[in-house]
Formats: sequence, C-alpha cells, structure tokens
Amino acid sequence: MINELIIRPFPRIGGDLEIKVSLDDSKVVDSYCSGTAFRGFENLLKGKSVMDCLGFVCRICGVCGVSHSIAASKAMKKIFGVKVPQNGYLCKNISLATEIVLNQLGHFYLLFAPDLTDKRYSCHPLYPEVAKRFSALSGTSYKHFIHARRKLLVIMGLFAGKWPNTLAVHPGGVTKTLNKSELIRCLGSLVEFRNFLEQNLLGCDIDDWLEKKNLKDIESLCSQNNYHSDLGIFAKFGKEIGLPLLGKSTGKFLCYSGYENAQGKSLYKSGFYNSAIYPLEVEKITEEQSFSFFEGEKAHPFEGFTEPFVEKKKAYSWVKSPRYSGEVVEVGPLSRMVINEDSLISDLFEKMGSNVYSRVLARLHEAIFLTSKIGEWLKRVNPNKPFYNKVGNIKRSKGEGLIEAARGALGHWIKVEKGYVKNYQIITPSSWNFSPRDSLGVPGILEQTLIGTTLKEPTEPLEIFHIVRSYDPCFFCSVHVSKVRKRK
Amino acid sequence: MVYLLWLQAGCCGAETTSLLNCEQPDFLAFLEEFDINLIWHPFLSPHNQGKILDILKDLSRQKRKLDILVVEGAIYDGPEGTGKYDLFCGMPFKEWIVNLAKLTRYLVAVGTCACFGGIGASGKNLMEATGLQFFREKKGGFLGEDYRSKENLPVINIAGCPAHPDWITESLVSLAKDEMRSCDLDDFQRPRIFYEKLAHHACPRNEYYEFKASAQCYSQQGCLFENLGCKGTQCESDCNERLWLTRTGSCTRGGFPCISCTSPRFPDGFLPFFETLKIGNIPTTLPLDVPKAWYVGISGLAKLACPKRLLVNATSFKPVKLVFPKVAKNDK
Repeated sequence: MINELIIRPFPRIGGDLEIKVSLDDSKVVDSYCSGTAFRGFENLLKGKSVMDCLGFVCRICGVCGVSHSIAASKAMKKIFGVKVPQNGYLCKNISLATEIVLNQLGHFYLLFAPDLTDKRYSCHPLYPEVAKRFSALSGTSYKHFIHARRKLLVIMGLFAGKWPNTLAVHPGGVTKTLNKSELIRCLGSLVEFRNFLEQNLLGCDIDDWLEKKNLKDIESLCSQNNYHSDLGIFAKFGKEIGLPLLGKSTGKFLCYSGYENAQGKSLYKSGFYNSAIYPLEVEKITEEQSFSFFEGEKAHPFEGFTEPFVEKKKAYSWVKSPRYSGEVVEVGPLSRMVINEDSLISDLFEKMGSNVYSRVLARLHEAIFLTSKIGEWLKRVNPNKPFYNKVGNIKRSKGEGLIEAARGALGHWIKVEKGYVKNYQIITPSSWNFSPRDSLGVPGILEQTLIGTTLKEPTEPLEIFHIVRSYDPCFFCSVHVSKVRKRK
Repeated sequence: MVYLLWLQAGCCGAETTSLLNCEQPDFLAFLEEFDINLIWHPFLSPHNQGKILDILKDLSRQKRKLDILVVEGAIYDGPEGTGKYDLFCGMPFKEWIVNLAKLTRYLVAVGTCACFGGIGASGKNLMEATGLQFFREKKGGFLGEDYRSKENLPVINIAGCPAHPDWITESLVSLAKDEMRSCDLDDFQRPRIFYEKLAHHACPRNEYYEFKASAQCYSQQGCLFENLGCKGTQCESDCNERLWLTRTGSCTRGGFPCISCTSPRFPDGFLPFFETLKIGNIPTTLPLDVPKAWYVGISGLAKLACPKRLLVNATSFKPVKLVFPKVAKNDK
C-alpha cells in the first residue's frame, strides 16, 4: 500500500523545507524535496552598483553571511582587477573559518544531536549519557557549547566588527585593521575555545586528534577516554544505532577551492570526485530549472536568470537543479575532505561510504581542523602591513567567486554593464544537495538518498530527520516563498 | 511563567543568530532567569513533527496562554495579496499572524524586516512584503495602525539588521515583567532606551569627526562620514556605546560605514552604502538636527584647526605620530 508522508515545516534547520515521501509499507519509494522559497535576491541585485551588492549579499543568510561576502568579494576582485594584500587574505580566511566553526558545531549541538535523544533509543546502554549531554536547550553539552561559542564571537568582533551582516569583507581586502593587542586578545580567546574542544568535544589534545590517520585511531582514542567526550559518545552510539547504514548517497562529490593566500595557493583545492579525483572544470556547471518555479530550462550561471513563474505546471520547488557535467553531485564537509585527501576522512569514506555517520563526523573533524588553522593564521597577521587595497574602475565585465562555505560549494556569478550589475546568479550549497529533479527527471541528492530508506515507525520518521539534517540544509538562501500552487 | 512563541516569516535567520549571540545573560540564562517558557522556536525547539500545528490549534482555541509573540522577518502579501509566497503549516503565514495577533498579550517585531519591511521590501518589492505595523515609514503595515495587543500596546519594534542581542532580550524582559508602557516607545514604536541615541555616539572615530579629518579609503583610521558613506550620525541606535559580539565591535569599529539599519528607510534610503553623496562639498546626509550653514562654518574651521596628528592618522591604516608634541622649553 502506498502512503504519502509530508513533513512541513521541517523544524530545526535553517529556513523552510518541505519533504514529501511515498511509502510502500515502511519503505520510501519516492521522494520530493521542495525548497519552498524565493526571496528574489538575485532580482534585487540587478541594476545596483557593484559595491552596493556587498550590503545585500551578506543579508541573504543570517547564518553564513560571511561566506556570501567572501564569494561576492572574490567575484568583484576579478571585476575590479584589484590585488589583495597578504593581511587581507589572512583576515578574510580567519573570519570565514570562524563563521564555519560556529556553523559546524552549531549544527551538531543545536540541530543534529538532539535527535539522538529520541525515546526510540532509550534501551541503548549509553542513552542516559546521550540524553544528559545532547537534549535541546537543557543538555550539558548543549549548554557548554552555548557558552564556548562566545569565545569565537570575540574573534568575530575584532575581525568583522559586527556579525551577522558584517561589511568588513571587500574585494581589495578587509576594512578592519588589527593591532598587536587585538591579535593577542584573539589568540587568548582561541585558547579558551580550544580548551572547550579538547575537554568537551574530543577528550584529547587537538594536535593529537589531527594526527589521527584512520578510523581505527578514532576508535582506539574513544575507548581510551572511555567515551567521555561528545565525539566519543557520538562515534560509538551513532554507530550502534545504525547511522552508518542510513542515508547512503552515490558518493559523487564537488568541491571549489577555499582559503586562498597571497601566493595564489589555497588550503582546499577544487575538484570533482567520481571514484577518482578529477580537476574541476567550471564551465561544466549548469543550472536546470525544469522542476523549479522559474522560466526557462537550463543555463550556465553567467547566463542564467531568475524570473519567477509560479504557474509552471511540473514545478515543485524554488530551488534550481545545479548539475556538474549533467551529474547529480553532493557537496559539504565530507566532499571537500575526500577531494582534499584528508587521511582520516578518506579512510572513513573508503570504509563506510557517504552516509549520515560519515557526514556528521566529517563536519566535526572540519571544525577541529579549522580551529587549529585559525591559530596559525592569527600568528601570521602583521599589524604593520596593509590590510586593504582600494578598488579603482571596473576592468572586466564579469567575474565569478567560487568558495567553500560551511555547507559546501557556494558560487556567485556577476555580470556588469556600464558600471551596474546586469545579472547576478548564486548557487548555494543547499541547491546542490536539495535540488529537485533535472530535465532528465533525475532526482537531486537528498531525494535519491531518501529513496530506499526503511522507516521503523512511519508516523515518527526519525530516519528522515537524521538523513535530512546530516546534509545541514539551509534554506534562508533562497527561502520562504512557500509552495506557490496554481493561482485560481 | 511567561509563554513566548517565536515565528519566522520572510527572513534570513539573523535575528535568531543574534539571540544566540546574547551574553549577560546568554540566551539559556535569559530563559531561566526570567522564567520564560519558549513554547516553540523553528530553529531551537526539541520537537520534530507536528508539534507546532498542535500548538497553533491549542492557541487558537485558547487552550494555551500566549504572553509574547515574536515575529522575525517580513510578512509577504504576494502574489497579488494572497500571501501564498509564504505558507506555514499549510496556510499563508499572514493568516496565522492575523489570528495570533488577537490572542497575544504582546506582539514583538524583531529585525528591520519584521518592523518596517526592510531588505524584504526593498527595490520593487516583488514579495509585496511589509512590516507588522509599518511599511517603511508609513504607519499601518500588515496589521493596520489601530492594532493593539491584549495589553493595549502596539507592535513593539526591535529594529536592526540584525537587532542587537541586548535590544531583543532586554525588551522581552521588560515585557515579561509587564513594565513596558506606550510612552517608552518612540514614533516608530521602538523602545526609546535603545533608539534614542545615535550610532555616532561613542564612535572611536569621533575625534576625527570633530576636526573633519576624514579617511580617503577603507581600512584607514579617519572618519568615514565625509567620503565613505557612514550614516552613523543619522542612525538611531546605541551600537557604539553598547558594542557587539562580547563587547568587542561595531560597524565603524570594524572599519566599515554604519548604513543605518535600524531606520524604517533601510536599506533603500541609505544607498549608496560605501560613498557619501554630496552637493558641492557638503554631504547630503548631514545629521538631522545640525543646521547646514552651521555645519559648513564649523567644518571649515575644524579643518583649519585640525592637529597634524589627526591629519596624518586619518589616512593611515596604522597609528603614526601618536606622540603628542612635547611642550617647548621656553613655554615652561
């Protein structure tokens, strides 16, 4: 018997999402993921002066605004042909990494982990400990995180002035300079944050953790400290409740480059993974909109447009369907760790594939990795060298800014005419992971992942909550014009 | 126990992030200390499926108490007045608000979008977005100018893009204690205590402002008002006194211009963001209560009187010549 199950609103994620699945008994046989949303940002940016766009794009998302600023500034850097001084790169990287660590850990503690306290798992011997730590609003680890994140806010305040919605990130660098004293305060605050990571999340020294090369190392570490850490508990409990078997995806990954330096090198290299790693070819990115409430079918983002068309017959989502060389690909921390051959996460992926468990572990691992990078970068900021170069006249008529945001590959494509924006297109990580079907009728990553899942209790589809949240959806980016059905 | 419901309309989630950025008290301590029961919050509630629908049903049957309703984000009226651009639990979001606004003791709009339309209503306003009781500067908005909540207060507007965490929590505390009166609100229904000042107050660049020692480009130490688009002298907020992010920053401390995000005219009324429009040499964005002729006179004199220390530093990214000139021997 086929039943339909609709989850709306989907709580504890960023923004509005609607999931519709068809069930044959308890097995998901079909699924539709509606990013129920159109805030019209791209349309709003048309006709604006290039620089003014900076004031709008950071306001696309109240969770990952720095990422949008960085992507926009990278595109504008090409348009203005401006050089960024070394401090400019470092400061941009520090602000972005700080935002991403806040995002990755916020996702685990506030959004994902509370599901582990579901009554369904109450027979597991570790359940009392899990419930004590991870309960929403009241868990001990939840509270510790709320306190600890303020240590990162100190760094954000000194680098970005205000957050969310900082305007410190410009094409030619950053507007905020830092003196010696401020840098020392940041380092001090980072030490306090590292203490939280070491004492609560890891149960070991960060450097020890970053030396771990494979899955076995994690297991031995976790058993050594008797699972007295959030990550240790998750690693054991998550495995035993079957998260590695849940939400398996095809394992085709995409990653842009991230965290550039003045020498033109990047911490993250770009690439495409399909059984092996290939170099990224940007021109292979297309956006299809066969099932989206927009006019037209398919275009490269420079040519794409975003005219809403609410009466489009087969449309069911405000998210478009980005494809790489026609392929449906996954983006996020797991993708970039695999493409960048991080030894620990590559081993995890090799042994387990892409699933709820590996996606969550990759996210936590990235938070630890970036925290240590912030420390390195802080020490390299030189208060006596410039932070910023002034932009001059427009030199090129288009530019793209492709970066890695918390949730994966983020791209801004800007076309300019007579000094003003002619076209502005954005592809967010959540449109890669939560896209509707494409012109060939192939479902997006999440839709594919859900199909085949067996629900233990179809009235309490906890499996769906685990799977959807493991991708960390954020729909503020394209949000909130919900499901416009045909007008009567 | 004070029952608080937080809903998100057309928004980016920044007000929720701001709430999480609270300190003294942090937001968990805020709930505990002031006995606030968060009935539901889209980002923070433990519940998964269905819960909010039950809550909304119970509320409309008055089986549950609703003391404070907080709305984050603009109300979308589109397309063509149907509100279908923003469906919530199967109904246009705006219809839920019509019902809940009648039932709540206090109604709070958090963020400039919820207050005045803000970013949501900028440009051509495709979404037909509006604030709860204002559309930009015009009173009325979604609920109409006569709206009063059960305690006979209009919508309380905690403006800002985003609002400062303190503005949110302290306003909610005074509502939880039933201490807010309509005389505590300004013409745009913002609590005076936060919005009677200017972002300009306590700006560390004030000495540069006094002597019109202006930065020529960003990252320099001088005042951002004359050339670089700063609207701090027009923006009603206490940002630079209160400071953001564990009291470490503000817009102008971050080296970028205030763009007056607490104003009902935000954002379109403050474009261009990064340069100062001028007629002749006079910025068009003079502080409202400074007569133009006086401004011209004073700034001319100030420039003549400007100490070299400021003149040099205004266009440098790091302090130079910080030492005050030593008193000459024959002056002793």
